[in-house]
Formats: sequence, C-alpha cells, structure tokens
Amino acid sequence: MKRYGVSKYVTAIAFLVIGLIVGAAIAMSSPGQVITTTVTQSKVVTVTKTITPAAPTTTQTTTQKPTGFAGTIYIGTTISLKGKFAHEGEYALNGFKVAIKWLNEVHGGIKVGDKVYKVELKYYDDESSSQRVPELYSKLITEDKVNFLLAPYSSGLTKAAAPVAEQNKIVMVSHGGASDSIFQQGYKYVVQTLSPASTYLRSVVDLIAEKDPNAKIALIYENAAFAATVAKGAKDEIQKKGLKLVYEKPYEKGATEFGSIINEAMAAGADVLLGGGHFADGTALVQQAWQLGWKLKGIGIIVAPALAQFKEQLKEAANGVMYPAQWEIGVKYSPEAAKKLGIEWFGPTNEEYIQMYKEVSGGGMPDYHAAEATAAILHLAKAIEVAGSLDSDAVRAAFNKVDIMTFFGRLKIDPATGLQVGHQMVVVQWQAGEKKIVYPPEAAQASPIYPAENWYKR
Amino acid sequence: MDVSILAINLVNGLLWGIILGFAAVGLTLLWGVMKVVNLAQGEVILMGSYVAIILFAQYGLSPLIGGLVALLVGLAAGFLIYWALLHKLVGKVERITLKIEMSTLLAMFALSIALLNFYYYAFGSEPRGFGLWSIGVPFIRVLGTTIRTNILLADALALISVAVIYLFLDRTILGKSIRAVMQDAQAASLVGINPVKIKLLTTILGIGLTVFSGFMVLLFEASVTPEIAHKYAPLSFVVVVLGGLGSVVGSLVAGIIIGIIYGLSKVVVSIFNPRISDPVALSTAFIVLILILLFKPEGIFGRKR
Repeated sequence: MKRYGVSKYVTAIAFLVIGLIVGAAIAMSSPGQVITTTVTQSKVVTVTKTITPAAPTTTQTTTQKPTGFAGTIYIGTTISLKGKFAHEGEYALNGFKVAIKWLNEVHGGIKVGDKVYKVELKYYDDESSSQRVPELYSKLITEDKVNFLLAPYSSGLTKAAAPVAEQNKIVMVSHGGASDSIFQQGYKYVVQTLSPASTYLRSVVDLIAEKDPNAKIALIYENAAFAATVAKGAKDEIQKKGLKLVYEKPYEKGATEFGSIINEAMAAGADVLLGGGHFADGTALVQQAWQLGWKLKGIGIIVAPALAQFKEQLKEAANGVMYPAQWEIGVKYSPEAAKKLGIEWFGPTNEEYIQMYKEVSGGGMPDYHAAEATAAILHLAKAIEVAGSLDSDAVRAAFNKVDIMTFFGRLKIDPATGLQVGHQMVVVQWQAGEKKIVYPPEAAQASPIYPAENWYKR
Repeated sequence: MDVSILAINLVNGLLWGIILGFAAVGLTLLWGVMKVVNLAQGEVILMGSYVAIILFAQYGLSPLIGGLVALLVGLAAGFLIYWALLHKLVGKVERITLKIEMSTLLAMFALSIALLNFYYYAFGSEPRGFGLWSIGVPFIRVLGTTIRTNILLADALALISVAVIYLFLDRTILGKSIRAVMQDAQAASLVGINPVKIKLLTTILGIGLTVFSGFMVLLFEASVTPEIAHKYAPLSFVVVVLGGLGSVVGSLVAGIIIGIIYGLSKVVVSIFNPRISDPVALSTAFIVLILILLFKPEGIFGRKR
C-alpha cells in the first residue's frame, strides 16, 4: 500500500511537470502555424495545412490544439503493470496509447453529433490482482468520472471488473477477456472486442472442412476451463461442418507424457490433431505425436505454437503445425477487404498501426495483446460516433449497429450478450520455420499447406 | 471395451511403472537406512534431468553422456548433502528419535524449496528436454502399441541399475554393512561397522541414484518443468511404502504395480467418463497407499517390525 501511495505521488508530480512543459509549448506556439505532416494511409499523402483551431476535421495533423475540441472523453481502465500479467499489461498500455494517438491526431477526435471530442485514458495499475480491480474501477467511476471503461487484461480480472461497470451502468469493452462465461452472466454493459474462447479453433476447423471433408479428427485438450471451452467450440464446428470426430480426450493439467493418448488416437484412425492447452503440454503433445510417427494431415494447437520456443524445441516437427491467433503481424485486413465485404473500414491500416506502435513504444513491435487493446478503443470510438452521444445506454445500443473492419479484423457483437461474433481468429501455420497467416483468405499471407507433407508422408 | 486400448494402457503403465520404481530406489535407501525422509525427492530427481538438459542444450553433448554426468553429479551431490546437511543431524546419532527424524525432514523440506526455486530461476517454467533427439529410430511397434525408443532406453537403464544395486547390497561387504545398519544400527556398530561411513555411503548412493533417475524421467516424459517434482515426489512415497522400506526390489515391483493400476484404472474409468480418467487413475495410486498403510504397513517386501 505504501509503495502504491508513493508511486501515485511520483506519477502526479510527473504529470504536473509534463503539463507545465506542454502548457509552455502551447503558449509559445503562435496560432495558425503551418504544419507539414506525412501520413501513410494505404498511400503516402503529404498534407500541408493551416490549422484553424475551431474546425477540427478528419485531416491528419501531428499536433492538435486542445482548444479545437468541444471537450474530453475520459476512458478509464486498470492495467497490469506489475504481477503475472505485467508483460501483457505493457503491450496493452502501448496499444491503448496508439488508439488514442490515432483518434486524437489522425482521426481528429471522436465526433459526437456535431461536436468533436478529444480522448484521454485514465488508468491505474491493478498489479494483476483481481482483489484490486473492483476498488479501482469504483474509483475511476466515482472520483475520476470517466465516461467509459475498458476491461482489465485476462478473463479473471474482467470478471472482477464487470459487476462494477454493470452497477454503475457504464459501458465496458473487453480486450483481454476471451472467456465466454463473462458474457453468460446477463451483463448489459459489457461488450467484447476479441474473439471468445469458443471460437479459437473454429477457423482451423473451417480450413480443414474446405481442404479435406473426410478428415478424421482427434480432439486432445487440457482439462481446464479455457481449453475445454475451446474444445467444446471446436466440437460444435466439427459437427456443423459435417466432419468426423473419431477421438476425444481431455488430459489432466500439467500432463507431459502422451504415449497412451496418442496411441489410442492412432488406433482410432485419426489423421488430424486438434487441441492443446498451455505451452508445456501443447509442445509435449506435438513433440510426442512426431516421435511416435503419427501420420497427420493437419495439426491445430492452441497457445503453444504461437511462441518462438515452440519452433526452437521442435525444429522440423514444428512445420505444418497451425495455431489460431487473435492477430498477428502481417495480417492482410485492409480497406479494400472491407469494401469487398461491404462494411466500413475504421482506424489505421496495419502498416500505419505498426509504425505508430513503434513510435509510441520507443521502437517495439506490437503483439496480439497490443492489437486487442487498440481495437477495443477503436471499437468503442466507433460506437460513440454511431450513438452521437456520451450516454452509456445510447453507446451500448449503438454497439449493436457497429459492424466495421479494422486492422485487427471485423468487429461486430451479439446484440443480446455483447459477445464478439464478427471477429475471426486467424490461422497461422509454421511453414519452413516461418509463421505464415493462412486463413481466412482476407487476412492470409500464404496458402495453407494441407496435408502437412513432413507429417503425413514419413 | 476395445482390446487395443487395454493393451496400450497396460504397456504404457508397465513402462512408466519401471521408471517410477527406479525413481524411488534412492528414497527407500535413505529412508530405510538413515530414517531420512527425503522431502526433496522430486527436486533431486529433477537435478538429473536438468544436468542432462544443460549438457545437451548448452554444450551439444549427447544425452547419453548427459545421463552419465547426471549420475556423477548425483553422487557428488549426495556427498555434499551428507556433509552439509545430514552429518550434524544424524551422523553420530545411534538411536534416531522422533525429534531427529523431524529435523532431517524439515532440512530436506528446506532443500526442496531452495532447489525448486532455483530451477524456476535458472530454467523457467517452460518445458525443457532433448527436443527430437532419440536413440536410433524414434519409435517401434510392440504389442499393437507404438513406443518411443527413448522410453525403452530409460526402462532398460532403470532395470540394469536396479540389478546392479541389488547385487551390490546382496553380495558385497559394503552392501551387507548397509543392510546391517538398516536392520539395527546399534548392533552394527558393535560388530565394528563405522556408522558414519555407512551413512555417508548410503546418502551418496541414495541421492546419486535419485539424480540418475531424473535422466530416465526426462527420457520418459520427453520434457520436464519444475512442476514434474510434484508429480514424482508423492508417487515415490507411495512406491516406497508399498514396496517396503529399504527394499530395492520391492521398490521396482511396487512401481510396476502402481503403473499397471494406473493404466488399468484409466481404461476402466474411461468407459464411464473419459473426462475424469486421468485424475481418478492418479488418485487410485494414493488409495492403494492408504490401503497398504492400513492392512500391510510393512509393505510387500518389508520386514515386520
């Protein structure tokens, strides 16, 4: 507690100093200055524009005078800057910053009716602790008077924040809570930007259904809430697509040896392996499937293959393995793809996104945690613009109408529950030691290799 | 019920049981001879896994050399653990009281925490292993089951090791002295057996074999995380109690029994509910422990006291 108090004062002083510097800079700059900006947006445009403070437009500028806005929309959240989600928290924070930078500087603020608002983020460090979350969200609502909320990272923390948002009737957008159960509680103000767990393997199943309608699938997954939800979703999709599920087996948490399970699946004649859980078990499962000579046409595993260590450990066995991802550098979602689907494009393009992320983070590259965070704010901003109001009920109703494409993919929610239904997991496949996005076609960089030659023809 | 599924699980249970039995040999010696309850059993096993992993991953040495080095490191670790930890507690003591047993237990518990956290610090929680390395071909088919050759190598090494240690205890003077101290430390010292020397030797052997078994555990599991300690330590205790305190052969037999019970119960439970088969099978092993303690506390090969 004491440490937290100290860091609060330090932060306050830092803000004060930054405020003074910014204030001085604004005071010294003369009104009506000429600013030259270069903005990449599918093509390079050089904009030379004289800014008149009272008329913010969609044109892009690097500095926008606060006086140009009718007011400020405060978005509140907690971020895990300490504790077990510190790594993800850092990405999320940078992701938020990119969205806010884009909205304020490129988009020119959020348009609410005929007024334009600046966006500002207010956040506290939740230290990855679900105990801290309710208190901090109450504080954001009652003391900081934020207009809207973003959920914390992870399903667990999102579940801790949701009741507070719900009680205070404030819209909360989830960017890191994939669990379906969050949206089965009857909450009216919680909406989801990322794909829910039940859809994680859906894209992989769709891909297999397209390539190989006779596939014989084995579903082998960790017996834990998340992986079981993923497996359940996969099973539903397998049935929907009329594919054959020849073997299903949950394994205990922390399992490392899969000799019996793999042998049983081979005896059942399975030639596609789907499942996984965490990094250790997922890697071990694939490793032993390889070492036991299991001839597989397709392998779709959650979580483990996304990490670079997966390839380092499994070498040639990694090739052909597919995994679902919320987002990956290189996805091809574009304004053109949106046009093809007949929906609106919103936000930066993928190239612009990566460029802005580098600027904000001091040279870093975004990962999916960052992309989810950015997309959540864009999603919210669009809903506010559609609503033309800062009232949470109006914005929540507007969310039901929003169907857009962003650099993160399509965003559309289920009106009743707030569950994300528009966004599709992309399927990434290890091909010759490189990650390639192979599905869906509008996001793909390469064609899927199916059957996986190195696994099937050995 | 599908016969092939039964065969698969019985074969795998047997293969695992041998590893389990050998992993408990060191524990049964330490516990039987010195009344030292090695609560760091799981972490000491991991020491062997990680030694072999470092040599393989950092220095590119063959896992076979890694296994040999693991044994040597284990013997050295036994020497260190005796002089640094156990000598002051049990070295000169003739009659081991409950108080002394408790203090060795706590000392080993402290060692387990220290080692476990060291592993997390040094190796992280990610799985580490020999990657795709295998001895010769990666797998063979036996009795309708595909088996990784690494597992067969591990089982062969375990069986040979048990045979060697059995012959050592049974046929050599030194081995007989160890058994004498196990049966009655006071009487043994009366006939001129130096208890300190025997206790040192037992610790070296016990820890050395346990560390060596880590190499086999790694071959069997294909990769390890520090978590593995929590899987093997409790099972080792079940094996020791079932096999009889201090009995090397008992340990091996008990390991095989547990492995087969585990495999069988998995098959049986799977018929009713595949979701719960693994955890139920694991708890069956501990139900066996309770039954043994109630009805045959000296274990299968143990001496009645």
